Amino acid sequence: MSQTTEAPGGAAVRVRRDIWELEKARYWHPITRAYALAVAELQKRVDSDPTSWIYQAHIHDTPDGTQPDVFRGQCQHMSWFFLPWHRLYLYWFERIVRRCVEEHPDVDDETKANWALPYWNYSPGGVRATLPESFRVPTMPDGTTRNPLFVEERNQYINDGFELPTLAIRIDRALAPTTFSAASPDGGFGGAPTGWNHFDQDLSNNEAGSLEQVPHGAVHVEVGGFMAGFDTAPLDPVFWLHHANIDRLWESWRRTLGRPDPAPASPWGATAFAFHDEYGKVVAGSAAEVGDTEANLGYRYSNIAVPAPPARTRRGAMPPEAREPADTPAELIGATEDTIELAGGRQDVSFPVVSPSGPAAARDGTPARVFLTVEGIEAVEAGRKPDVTYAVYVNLPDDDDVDADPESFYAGTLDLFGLERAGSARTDPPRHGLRRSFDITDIVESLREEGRWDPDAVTVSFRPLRRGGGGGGGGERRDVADTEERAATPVRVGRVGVYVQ
Amino acid sequence: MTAAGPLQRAHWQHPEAAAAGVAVAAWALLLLPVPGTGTAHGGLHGSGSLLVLAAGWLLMSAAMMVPGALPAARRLALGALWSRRQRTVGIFLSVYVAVWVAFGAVAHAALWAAEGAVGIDAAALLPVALAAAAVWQVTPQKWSAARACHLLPPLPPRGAKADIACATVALRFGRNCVVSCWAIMLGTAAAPRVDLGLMALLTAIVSAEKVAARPGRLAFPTAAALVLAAVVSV
Repeated sequence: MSQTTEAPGGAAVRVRRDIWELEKARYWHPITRAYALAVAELQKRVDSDPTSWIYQAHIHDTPDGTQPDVFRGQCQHMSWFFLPWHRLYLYWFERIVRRCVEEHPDVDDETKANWALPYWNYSPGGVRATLPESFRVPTMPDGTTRNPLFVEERNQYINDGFELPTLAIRIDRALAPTTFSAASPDGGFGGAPTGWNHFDQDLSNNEAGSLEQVPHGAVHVEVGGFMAGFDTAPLDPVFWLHHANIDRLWESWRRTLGRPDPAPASPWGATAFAFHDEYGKVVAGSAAEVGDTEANLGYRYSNIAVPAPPARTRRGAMPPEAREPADTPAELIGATEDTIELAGGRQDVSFPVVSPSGPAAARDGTPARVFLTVEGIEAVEAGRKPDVTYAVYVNLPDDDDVDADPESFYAGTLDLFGLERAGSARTDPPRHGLRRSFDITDIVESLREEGRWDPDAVTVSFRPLRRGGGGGGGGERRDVADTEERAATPVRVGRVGVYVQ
Repeated sequence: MTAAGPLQRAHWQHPEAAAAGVAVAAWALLLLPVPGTGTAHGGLHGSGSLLVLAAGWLLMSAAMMVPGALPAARRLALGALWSRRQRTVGIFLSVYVAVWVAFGAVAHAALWAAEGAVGIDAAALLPVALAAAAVWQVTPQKWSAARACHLLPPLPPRGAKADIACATVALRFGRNCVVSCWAIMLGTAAAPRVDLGLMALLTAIVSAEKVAARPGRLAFPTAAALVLAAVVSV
């Protein structure tokens, strides 16, 4: 089972493996079991210990009302630091866990020598979109010891072994951008170029990248419980496997698809973040130091193969996300007048758009990019975590139009990860409105070609994702229609708008 | 790509540039040499005319408070229809400065009342106000207000609704800014001959608080700077 090879410098290169490959090979695979034992050990440590479970969670975010320091409350979101910061975060966490594994008397030598954080690749769907049983059973294999990988607070359908919704785990849109970073409202693959941006602190420019939205944010919300909240997400052991998968997809984008990261000498590469190592010693790292996971960090993924982002066949052209971002600012051409509320059901909004009158107007009336934005998102009841993810469509035909393929009108999936922090000024840094954007260039062009684009009435439809599909994890198949509309945390959306660039 | 020069592109990216020019112009006017009083700033502050004093306070408000509000103005403008970008900046900053003008009226009235009724020399209040500002810098209320300055909701796209929403956001922004910076600006109001170096220092503090990603980290450094300024001003 040796998964350790030699790195160029002679250091061991560990292999992060697919949790489902491990669990298919053996229920409670030694790697999984060692992780559980280490988590139990970290959970015993006092909260003030930088290597404790609670402290590690607070590195991501501190509970509301608790002031962060230089180590805690540091996670980077809606920013081009999202991927490198989380890579560093996982790396140092993995070392802390590995030390526990290596010192644990109940772990065999081979596992100690090879242990690396597994990843949860849910995107192929089917059984892989379910949570492995070792994370869903309350006890360890002995039948009596508490299973630290089990979190009762997750959404019931996840702990029952049903699949994550397809629209929460698809990666074609996530991998489509060819540029790592682009200004708002685009965001590119890895997020808009910002300064330090825990949530929305950079007033000048912040936007989540495509990968940060889906599958990252959507999976957080769909797993639910601890995973749905900024300050609690790392308390669920599956958080680390989810983020290992996000980190893996970054490797897929870079290495499999051959896309470039920002220059290491740029502010992206130069900005350092502080962590603690497995001995509690202060360490620091930057994006420039983690670009090559094998050479810099001593790990690789067992599989970074991904399908090439498909061309949108309706238009027969390259996907709009594959175009280079324009170097001019985006221009709002229309938006809703009033706030709207999403409460777990269907919601449609319509608004007029005007012709661009800024730089986009010079492109013969055909803007290079069109973005749909959902801005100023807040929970109606402040502090509530999100519990529903929505599919967003543009000019979706009526349900009785049986010939219409919803995919043709699918703008993206609206994840609401971070909702409970939006609009809060209680802690430093403050948390502002949550916002999301979707590239809808192809939809607009297609609607225009078909004569179905009416500038006086652009309709945006929000549909809650269906849950309860599959049952490959052992549960019984559910009637998805029964779960389509459900009670949810009411969410206020400040504005839905269309930008062109 | 659109063929546009660097200035054109800068203008597209920074619709708040004209407002930045207003702040620069305000500083230039304050620095203007005036025979007998040193600078225009000195003349305005030393004048007994209500109108001149009001003009002076307006200039100081524009010079000191507009720079820190520019990122917020830019963010709102970039989210507006193209034809409304400048209008958005104009409404936002006009209302915001008006809030500070109103604060100045109240502050000066209070200072005159203190001078007339109690016999306190308002000029002597400068070090006291700066010391009070230093204390205020380390209170949770101060930073709660400073952080609230970062909350900017999106505006409706057009019409009176957009104007009213923009003015409302500016009022809220201004109110939070007054709660955050009242002590600093009270010191400015109290000083008939406050020097421009002090004004520059205070401008840097209030601007940094508004644009910093983690404004709370500025609490102790800015408090220390204000204590130093209070000592120097004695």
